[in-house]
Amino acid sequence: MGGELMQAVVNGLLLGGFYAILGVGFSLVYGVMGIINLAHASLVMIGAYLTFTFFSGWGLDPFLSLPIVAVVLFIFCWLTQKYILNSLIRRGFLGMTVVSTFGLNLVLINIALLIWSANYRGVVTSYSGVAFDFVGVRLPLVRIIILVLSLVITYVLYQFLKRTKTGKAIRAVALNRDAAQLMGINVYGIYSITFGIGGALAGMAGGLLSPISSITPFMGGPLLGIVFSVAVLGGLGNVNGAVLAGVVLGVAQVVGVYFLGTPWQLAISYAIFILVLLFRPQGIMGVKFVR
Amino acid sequence: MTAQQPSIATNPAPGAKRAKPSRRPLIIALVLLSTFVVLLPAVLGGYWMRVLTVVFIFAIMAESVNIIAGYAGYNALGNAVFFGVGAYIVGVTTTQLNVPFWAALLLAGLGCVAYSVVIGYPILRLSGRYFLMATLGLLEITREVVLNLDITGGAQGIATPVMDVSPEFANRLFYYLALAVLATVVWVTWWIQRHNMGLALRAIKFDEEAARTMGINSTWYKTQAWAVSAFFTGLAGGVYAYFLAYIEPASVFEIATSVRMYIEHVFGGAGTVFGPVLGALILELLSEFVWARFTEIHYLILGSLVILITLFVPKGLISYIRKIPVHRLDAWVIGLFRRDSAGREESED
Repeated sequence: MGGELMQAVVNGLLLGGFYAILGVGFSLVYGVMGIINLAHASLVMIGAYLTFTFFSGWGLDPFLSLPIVAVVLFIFCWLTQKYILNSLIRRGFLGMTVVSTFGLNLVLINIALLIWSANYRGVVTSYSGVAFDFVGVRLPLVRIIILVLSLVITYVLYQFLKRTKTGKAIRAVALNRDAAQLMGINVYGIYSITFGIGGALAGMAGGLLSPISSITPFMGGPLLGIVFSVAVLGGLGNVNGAVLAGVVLGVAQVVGVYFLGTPWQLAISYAIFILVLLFRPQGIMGVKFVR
Repeated sequence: MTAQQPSIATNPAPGAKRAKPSRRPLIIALVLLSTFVVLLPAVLGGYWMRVLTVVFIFAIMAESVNIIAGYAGYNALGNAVFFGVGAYIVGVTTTQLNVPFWAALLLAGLGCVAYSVVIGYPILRLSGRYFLMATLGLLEITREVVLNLDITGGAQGIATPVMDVSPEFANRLFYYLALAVLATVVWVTWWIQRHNMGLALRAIKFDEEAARTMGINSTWYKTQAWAVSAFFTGLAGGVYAYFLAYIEPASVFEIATSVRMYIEHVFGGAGTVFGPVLGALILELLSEFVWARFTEIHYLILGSLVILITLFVPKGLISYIRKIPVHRLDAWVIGLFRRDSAGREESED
């Protein structure tokens, strides 16, 4: 009994790192521009499909294809922001962007259906079954790699936002758009880059997800709740917060399932989401953006 | 929220400045249109009757979203939650408790009001962005709960009782029922627009802090607006449950339904009385056409359409219709009727 609960907590921790990278791109986009990207989960789906294609076509390891997936989705999202969303924001229709991203979501799902069909796809590597035993707790190798890579990617993102010139510009635009513009920052250029980064993060999340989940065009739906929860729980645009939120959510979900049963898994993440909104809308860290 | 303000500020407050020229064309158009819609079942076949019933149901929902999102500026993107709750109240009460349909329908509306007030009073204090996400969360969590309860039949759904009438009669019944609810919600919206509540809601949309400083109890008005919105969306759900005779959580609590009604109100014209109905009419008929002709790439076409609409018609169709010089049209129509009295002076009127 105790051992099973222990295993559940460990599974939650392993899942939590992945949740962080799932939500952080959405959180960044929302925090900087105020765009609610309803297509975020479908970008994850596209990332998973690209990884699957590289794996089945060229035998490329799913974790090695992450950079390619990131670049492809960065370019796609950069173009989307540059030619569609920026034009809406320029004319003062920021509220409309959520509708646009919903349209994009439908388009992505249909494209996936046309290219990869509705069949369930999966990525099974030679080391998929490998697991370690640590004081009675099972630690699958794949999940450990996913956790480590998630943490590395979020750490790189954090350092990028903190240290590089572009990163600083992104933070400046998030804090005060007008002041940033007066300082000579090309706000719309930064917007495009931010959306591109959001897309790249979604794509990498998809790549990381591909070895542990079946891939379908409609896999995005259930992920969206987790994305929302991580973003709100961690504080919008807050990278550290997203990691903490991912871990909290992962553990809460797995432990909740342990006590209530699998069908309640999604309900738990949404319940956490709404409770946080009600009682602590600024997120657990209390800071809206990377300082 | 602050970034969203300018868009609201540049929108002309609908109805704030009533068009000074005659309102006669609007009234004539309305009378003609309603006569047409009421008489339409006489010539339509069953298929088109059912299509139009669904169009009306979506028009009801688009108009309901309009009350909270278009007027008050609180974008309730997850408003389909009331559609689902209304449908399930009708489904559960008619099958498990043998409540007659009419009473169940009323219960659906009232149940949704209760739900919206209990949830809305706390979450309407959130700023607009968080409110939007909260409504989406509400939609999802309600679906998950309905999916896991025993009384709702879980994922299997509920088959609602079939009425003991001929199919033709049933088609007509639901057609007129949906039409009646639609007429009521349009009338209520029109009423709200012309009274203090509409003024308060528009003030909240424009600048909530300023509105509160002026003594407007914004939470009270927002809760009221969302309750009205929930009531009619619940009725729509109830009618739909009986109309379709089968409901399941995945189809009535669908995020796509939710966004669809939201887009329709924007496409027609947010914050106007007739815009959302127009938007629903055009988009639903278009969607029906696309679905029938291009089943394989249905999502692709609809998604692209949605993106194009937001790019090119972000203010809504009504704003373009308003630009038509109605007063000249009016004079022209009157001129037609007065052909025979040509030569007399205009000032005689």
